[in-house]
Amino acid sequence: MRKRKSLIKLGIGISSVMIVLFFLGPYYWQIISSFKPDNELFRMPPTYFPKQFTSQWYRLIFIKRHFLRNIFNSAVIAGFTTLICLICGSLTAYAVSRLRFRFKYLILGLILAFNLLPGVSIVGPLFLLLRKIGLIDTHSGLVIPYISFSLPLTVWLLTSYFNQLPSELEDAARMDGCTPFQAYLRIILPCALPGFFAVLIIVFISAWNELFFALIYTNSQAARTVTVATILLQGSYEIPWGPISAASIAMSLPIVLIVILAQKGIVEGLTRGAVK
Amino acid sequence: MAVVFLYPTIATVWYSFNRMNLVMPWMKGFVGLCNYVDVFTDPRFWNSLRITLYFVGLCVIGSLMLGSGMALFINQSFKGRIIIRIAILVPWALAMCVVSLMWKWMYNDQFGVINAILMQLGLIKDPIGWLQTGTLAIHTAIFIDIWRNTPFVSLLLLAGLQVLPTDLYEAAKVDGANAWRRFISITLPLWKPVILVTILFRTIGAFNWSFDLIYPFTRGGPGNATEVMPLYVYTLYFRNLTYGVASTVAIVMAVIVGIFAVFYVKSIGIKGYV
Repeated sequence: MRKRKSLIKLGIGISSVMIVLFFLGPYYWQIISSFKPDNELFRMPPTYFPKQFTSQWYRLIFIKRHFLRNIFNSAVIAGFTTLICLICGSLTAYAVSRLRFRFKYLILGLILAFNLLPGVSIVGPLFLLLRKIGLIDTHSGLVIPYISFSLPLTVWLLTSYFNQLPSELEDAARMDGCTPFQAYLRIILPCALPGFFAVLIIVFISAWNELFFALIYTNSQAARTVTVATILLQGSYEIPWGPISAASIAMSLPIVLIVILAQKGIVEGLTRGAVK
Repeated sequence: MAVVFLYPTIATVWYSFNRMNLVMPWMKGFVGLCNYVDVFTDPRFWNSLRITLYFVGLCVIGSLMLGSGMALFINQSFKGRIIIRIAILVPWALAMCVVSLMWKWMYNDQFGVINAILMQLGLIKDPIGWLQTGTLAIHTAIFIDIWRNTPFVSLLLLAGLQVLPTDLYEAAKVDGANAWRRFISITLPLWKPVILVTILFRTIGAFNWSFDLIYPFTRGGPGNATEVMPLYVYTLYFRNLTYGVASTVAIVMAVIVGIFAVFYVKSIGIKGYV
């Protein structure tokens, strides 16, 4: 019996190690690749830990290619998207959760359906429209589509989150003389902070990581987001793997670190929203 | 009440404004169903459709099998949960295009680490050109998608596992059912709804967002071997500038996804949800 138990433990240990290696290994590889100089990068067999560390690739993308500008763009766009989604979405979710009105389920169904629409279905005509208004190559030009992608998800997640908060809280507040809005601000918001937090991260990350619309709706280097800038480092004939690794890490590491720090909240938010 | 009601109305108007499906299957003049005829008789369209379905199919099956195994595994309590959770969240946190480039480098035929390891282990003699043939390219792309999305799938499935009532298991143990029997008769049936929802969710996701993977990876090549539908639509819109045809294909895609979406919404059971 004891032998069986220790065998199982061994099995669990090995499986855990394999899982960690499988999912974190490639990222580790990318990180060290971004610090390897030319001669070490393009050597076979490759070194599994850099013999020489160089920052030349990072210097290249930040100084010559103004990657910081791209980071700034991504940050602004993702930030505004998240902000507006949270504000509008939470109010919507609150209304949907607390009120009973006739088309409630229809609206919810529509919200869900919008979430599932392929981006390609709207990208063409939306492009023409934005171009007419003059919003191509601007921050707002991307914020608008991103909001329309993230808002349904925000409403969905927050609605199911609010549903789990008992309405007695607001009733008590109402009896004490609060208006509904005040009840919302003072009672619900503080309780719902974990949910808000999870949604905030999810929306921010999906806006930050988005490629398709960002690629199509920006033209100039100055307006590009990090995703576009990174993939456009690929040339027609050769692919500069050094700078690409550096750019990939530069754009992804902040997000990865945030996710690691907030992992508990994210898992809760995700699983709660998608599966009951 | 009024204030809280007004905001969601504005929000609804806001995103119905953006969801303007101004898709015009007609271009500069009404040509009726002419575009549809063109599209359905175009072999490149059928190629793209076939590739997309194949891609989506394998991706979903792959990540489902791997994900369910992982979910079952993680469901057992043990130490080291945090590192596993981190390992699982990292692929999700990375942008698809970053993942795409990351693996592209690893699959590089001359300097990639995958070929290096295979050769060092003595499994192959010459480096494999992973992106040089159509078959290899599409399967490599499928593998990358599975790598990236399995963690999320396993999280969804895990959530489904964790709400299963434990007393059923104890009753079964008392009745003398062994582990396998318990799995088949208790876990699987109760897990099915979650599995179904996950499958549909992942299918729709794979359809919609394969662009971010394929475009930096192969741009649809070699030839048209990896030209999934979003990429095809993109090419039609922004390379060929044929908005009419592009919109037609986009609509077809939306309809296909829509069919899956209907199943998805039904299987979630909105009323029970809210």
